[in-house]
Amino acid sequence: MSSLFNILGIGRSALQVQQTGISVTGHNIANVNTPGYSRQRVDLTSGEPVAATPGQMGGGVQAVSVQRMHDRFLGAQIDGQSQELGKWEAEKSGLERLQIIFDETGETGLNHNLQEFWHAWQDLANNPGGSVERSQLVSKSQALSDRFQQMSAAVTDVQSDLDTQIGQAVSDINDKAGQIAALNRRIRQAENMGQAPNDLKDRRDQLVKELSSLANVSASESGPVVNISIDGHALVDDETAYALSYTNPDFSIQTSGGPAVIAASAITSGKVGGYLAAKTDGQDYLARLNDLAAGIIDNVNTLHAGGQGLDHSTGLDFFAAGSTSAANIAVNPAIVSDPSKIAAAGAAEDVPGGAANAMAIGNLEFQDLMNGNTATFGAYYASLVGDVAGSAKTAADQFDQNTSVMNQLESYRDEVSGVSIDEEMVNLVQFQHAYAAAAKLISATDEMLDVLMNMG
Amino acid sequence: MRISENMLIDSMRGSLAANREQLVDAQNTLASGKRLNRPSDDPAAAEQILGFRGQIASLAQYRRNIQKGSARMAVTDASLESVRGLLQDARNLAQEQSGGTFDDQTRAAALEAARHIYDQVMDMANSRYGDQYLFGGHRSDGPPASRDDAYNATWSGDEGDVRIAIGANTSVSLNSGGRNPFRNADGTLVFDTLKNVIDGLAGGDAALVAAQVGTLDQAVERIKAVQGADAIVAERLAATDTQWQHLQNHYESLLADTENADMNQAAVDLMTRQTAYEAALTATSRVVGQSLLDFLK
Repeated sequence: MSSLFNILGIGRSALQVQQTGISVTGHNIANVNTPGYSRQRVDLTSGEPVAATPGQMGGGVQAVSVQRMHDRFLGAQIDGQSQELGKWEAEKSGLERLQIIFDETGETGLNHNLQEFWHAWQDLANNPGGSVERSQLVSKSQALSDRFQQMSAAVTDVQSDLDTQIGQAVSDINDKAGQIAALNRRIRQAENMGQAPNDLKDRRDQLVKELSSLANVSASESGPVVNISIDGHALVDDETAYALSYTNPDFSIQTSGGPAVIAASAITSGKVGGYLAAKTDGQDYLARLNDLAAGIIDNVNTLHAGGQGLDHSTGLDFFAAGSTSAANIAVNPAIVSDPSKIAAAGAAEDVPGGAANAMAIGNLEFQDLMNGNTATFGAYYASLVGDVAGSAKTAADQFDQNTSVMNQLESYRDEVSGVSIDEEMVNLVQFQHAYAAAAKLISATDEMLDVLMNMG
Repeated sequence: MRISENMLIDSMRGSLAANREQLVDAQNTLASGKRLNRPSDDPAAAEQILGFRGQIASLAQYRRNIQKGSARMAVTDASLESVRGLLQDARNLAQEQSGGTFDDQTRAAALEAARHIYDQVMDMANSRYGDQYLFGGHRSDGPPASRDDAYNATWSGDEGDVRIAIGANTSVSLNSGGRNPFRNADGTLVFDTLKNVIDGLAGGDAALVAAQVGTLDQAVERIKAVQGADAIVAERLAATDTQWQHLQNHYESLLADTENADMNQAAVDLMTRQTAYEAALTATSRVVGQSLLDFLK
């Protein structure tokens, strides 16, 4: 037979445990919108029974632990997907900026300037002595040079912005690695004291996910800690974080044996990987733009030097000395100040009517002089534009596709770990009723004790 | 399946954003009338468009060249037509004056006429198109023919070939490859022949006048031949222009097909997407914000 005090004990345990339940429910509701939060659940078990007659009597209830609802395998998959998504997000943003520079869907791109340049030569060939045609050619040539320079500067700007973004991403990586190392320590301490560090683990999981979106790191759980490595070097080892730094074009990381180099080519995904990919693409586009400019400069200069101007001047370059690429292409200042020096006539022709040279230069438009003499200047540029657009489209498509995969994975994760308000409300009602009932039990016991005390 | 709050919100948010993006795309297409608003909308088309625009611009340039060339040839033909008439007159005059009717009165009148013809032919030889002298070859900046008081002519033009481009790597000569219609087969100028007529008439040398008839006949024939050759070139220019015009229309319609949106389709797309977006908004407003909380006292 149990004593009345035993009943009070049962009531007390019930009150405490239901209160814990309400507290955990409240915690879940409070974190309904917290990224990376896993809903928690109180594990209940009945209390230690006491020996009595006619048999063991229940000892109330006890809360064994607070568990987080979490699927660790899904977590690893989400981390992997974060790397892909981060890469395409960054590459997409870089390529979209590059694509604007090569946007020829309007009618005022480099293509337009190129045509006007070649056609100005044809106009000059039609009237080789005309001063209007000559100054037109100078102004079209300057417009072409300016456009090349603008485009080159714009691509270079994007490149240096990408470098800045890589630098920021690297400092994010270091920040998160530091936080993970600190959480490793706190989680170990908590577990040593027999506590379940649910929220700390959620925070660490979230940090690993965010870190994954930045670079292709690999994480491995070992006991209470998570170790992170990048390209085989430890980024977080137990409770220590190692600093990564961007030493353009490569990376270096501190190790126990001094700094080690991580080649840019080893960072293949995450935002840093995406920025690097966009940077490589930008370098390729810039190189091809430079090839185009150099092709035009060389071919026009060679022909121009072989002709003669109205003043019989010959051997003059049409583009200024030092014009070698899109970045520095400029019309020869001697020609700008005196367009009569434009060599429209062939070497053997009389001026001003001779136009063989102007016609030959105008004809360069149709000659396969680029890409190992297989493409005209126009076709070479068109294929560059096509490639820029193609890469931008691939990045955008990949981003969309990876986003939907990510959404699906997140949705699986939320199915297990996400908080449902309906569910929590039901739990709240359930715990609240149990709490009220436990209180009723205590007040009933109190009345019984009162009756007992006032006997006699 | 357990539906948590985040799943619900995320999926609503995702589908609203997707619907909205599609709606904006449809609006852009309809507003710009273009299927391509960014190169990445269709990279292959973005590349093709450049090719088409290049073709159209080149054809327009050829047609501009041809237009200038045709105008120049028309002026040339008119000048040569006059020259031919004048030389024919000179020939007839020489023929008459070399015959029996050779008296002082007709001779004085004929001399006057011959001098007049000489100067008119020279005027024609110095014809211009714009600021270019037509018959000066590459020395197009000054009059090619000039004379002194004694009717000694000087030719300062050259035999430069004046060409225009009418296609990629194709050009035609506008002055029969630099051939000078005012130069006789033996290298003398037609003006020298006319001077002989004038000198003969002035000096009463009927034999000298008679000797020029044959040369003048040849000169008339030569001008005819040049005109004939020019007519062939002019026809070729006209035919090429027509051809380029067809091709230009062709490329323009290709460009339009590649670049322009099908407006009917775009309008239908806009309506459909608007409906879908409104439906998504309605669904979201019904579902979001509802929970068991609303039904508990």
